Amino acid sequence: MNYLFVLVVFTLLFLMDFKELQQANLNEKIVYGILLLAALTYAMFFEARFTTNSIVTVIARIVGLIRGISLPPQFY
Amino acid sequence: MAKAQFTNGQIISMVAVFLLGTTILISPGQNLGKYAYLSILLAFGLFLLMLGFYYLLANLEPKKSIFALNEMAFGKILGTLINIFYLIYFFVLTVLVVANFVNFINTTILIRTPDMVTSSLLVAVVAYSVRAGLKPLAELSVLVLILTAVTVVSVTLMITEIFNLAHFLPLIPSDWNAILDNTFTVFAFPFGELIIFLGFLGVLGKPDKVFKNVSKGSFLALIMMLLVVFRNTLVLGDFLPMTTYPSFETARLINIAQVITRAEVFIALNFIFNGFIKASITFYSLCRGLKETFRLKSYKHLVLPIGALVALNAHLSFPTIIQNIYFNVEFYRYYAIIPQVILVLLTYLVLLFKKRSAAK
Amino acid sequence: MSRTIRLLLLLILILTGCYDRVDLNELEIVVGIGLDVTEDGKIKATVQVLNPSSLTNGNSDSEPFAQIESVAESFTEAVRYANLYSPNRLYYPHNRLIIFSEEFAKTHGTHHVIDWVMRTEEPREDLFILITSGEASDVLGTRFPTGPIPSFEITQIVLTSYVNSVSTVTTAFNYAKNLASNIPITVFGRIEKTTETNGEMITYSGGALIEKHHFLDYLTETETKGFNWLTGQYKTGLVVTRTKNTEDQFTFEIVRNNSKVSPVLKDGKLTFEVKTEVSGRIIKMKSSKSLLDPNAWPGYLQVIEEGIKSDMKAAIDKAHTTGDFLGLGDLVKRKFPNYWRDNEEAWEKIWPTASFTFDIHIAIHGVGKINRFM
Repeated sequence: MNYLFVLVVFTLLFLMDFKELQQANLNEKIVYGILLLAALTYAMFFEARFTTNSIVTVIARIVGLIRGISLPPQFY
Repeated sequence: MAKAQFTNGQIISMVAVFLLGTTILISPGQNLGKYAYLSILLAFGLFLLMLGFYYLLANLEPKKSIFALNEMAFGKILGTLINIFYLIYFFVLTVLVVANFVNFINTTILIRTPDMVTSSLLVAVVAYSVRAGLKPLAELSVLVLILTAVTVVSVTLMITEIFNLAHFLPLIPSDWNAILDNTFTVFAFPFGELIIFLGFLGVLGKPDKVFKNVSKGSFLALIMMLLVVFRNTLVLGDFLPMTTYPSFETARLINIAQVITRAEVFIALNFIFNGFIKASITFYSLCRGLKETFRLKSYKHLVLPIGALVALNAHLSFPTIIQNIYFNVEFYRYYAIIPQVILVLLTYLVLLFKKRSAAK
Repeated sequence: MSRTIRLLLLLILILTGCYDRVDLNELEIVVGIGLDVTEDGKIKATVQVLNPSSLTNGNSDSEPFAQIESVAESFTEAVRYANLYSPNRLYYPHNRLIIFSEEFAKTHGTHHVIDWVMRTEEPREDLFILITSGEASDVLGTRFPTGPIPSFEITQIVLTSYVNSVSTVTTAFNYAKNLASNIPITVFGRIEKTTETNGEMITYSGGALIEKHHFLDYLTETETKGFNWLTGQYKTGLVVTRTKNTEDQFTFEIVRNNSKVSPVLKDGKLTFEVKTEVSGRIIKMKSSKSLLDPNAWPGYLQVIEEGIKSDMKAAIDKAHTTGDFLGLGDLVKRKFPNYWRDNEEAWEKIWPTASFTFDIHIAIHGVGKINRFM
């Protein structure tokens, strides 16, 4: 239910973007496409329980590795 | 966009609201209890020192953002790498602000609303406003600052009834190590986060004028922060370190003749406005950074996909406040010191050296 | 195009509020909770809810309140399961009091209830916590001639208790703060129900000592008065005494006061200095002839001072037997942190040896609308 809702919100925003995107140059289209695909893949991965890491947890793990703190996977 | 003029008041209030943003709820140095103000003052001193460096850096090449400066200092490839590091930091910052926001709403106001809804709604609003540029945000932040000041002062006045001065005793702390340790945390969050403003300084105006207003704004934020911390200590005392949201708890205790109660909604509203402005500013800076790093014409198209990423990341970041506090104390400050202090100093020194040798 | 999208966005923002709505008539507003222990050691929660229809219609065939009882192993279950017996969802933000029975405070402890109050978002932190020696559900169900809802009346009694200062007002937040600052014993307000020939009666006087989590002892009215003096919670009240020479009874009403205990450390020896400033007026005198005699006035002041001092001494004596409920340890900890660090372990042994000095200053600032009579 809430994913449907989220989808609706972002589709609407995408429609708003669409018009301006047509006038954009190739470089911009590429960056846009990469970011959008990244977002979608990430969302799917998350939905499929393939990953539960966010950028924040990744950073926590990296800093933890350097400082020698190991986090139990259930904590985050 | 660059033509838009920013008044002094707008810059002051943008800085103040940015610094107060999440701090209005999550008290800096909370686990120190009554001594939190000491670490805030120490961190502010450090921050002023850093602000001086930021000023010197901005004065070297006025009208250029930190991203352009990095590229100038380190060359194209290394500069882009450092810029990407900065972009990740700005992204993390945006995620943190949104995550704090979502956490708060989910523990206190809307318990059964899925946090994905809260975060994506906030991000949608933020993305929408960032598309419109910085000027409307600056105009709104003046209003938000007034609102915040009124709330902080009126909540303080309404709760004076149960102030207890004894909560500040003993005045001299026995454990200075903890205070210095917390100073580090308080510097990383929220003061050091002002590095975000280096991402779009050129837009705001001349460095001289901007930095005068930035320091004014941060003093204003400091005063309000101290007022909030003093008020919370006077009311909560030793219970303060145990609460999740001290200001919220303080406002919940307001009870004037059984009529004026439940004033916590003002704190919540306040936080929603402040969090919105803070998230928008970090988001704006992030988008501008992307634009400059990848040499795009406009950042407006980037808003939506980044927004989606922010919403998803915020949703996954902190299940509860415990992880948030743990992250702030154990990880965040060690990570944030790199972009906030080390890289800025490095860029400054390299640029200074280059300029000197060019002059010879 | 863009306009339609904006409109749709607006609708999404506005209409989402409806999906999780709770209407007022689907809520059962809780105004009081009573906690007892059943014979087999389980927790019995009595939840008092409003019945608004009977209040508005003014008909007396249905009670304006209802009591829901539920029994469970733990407190949270008991409170949650009360919903099983109620058609609507129970709603706690308007709850003003929690009454513990002595048995409950002895066997199950009070702290976990306060943890729930402070942790969850529905109950208020400033609700009153009271203790009764009988059944809490009985107290909660007392019918008052002055008002239809017992919980409201009890709240009112607690709020007006400042008139006599023979009882104490403790909120959940006060208790939580005491636990946070390591004040070992908290004084709860004591409420009792007595059945007399002309009906039921509620008395709110004295106090009950809760050591950290569990019930310890009761305080008498005098001891509670002394406790209020020594902790600066005394508001207004009476001193009924007799004049020194003529043995005439007279009543002194305390209008304003300022009372404070401060620890003094001299050559490693701890003493407590009680400083009290009282101003009040004479409100009743059996024989007021002596009022005009200037030499009688020092006697007045002396007997009033003795009256106040005896209250304080009663509380101190009680503290010697039960433990430090006056928060003296906390005072020392704040004023002499170094001394406290050295002596924290042995504090229970040290403080009873400390002596008290009293500095009570009385000002009679009125004798009323008549000056001489009879």
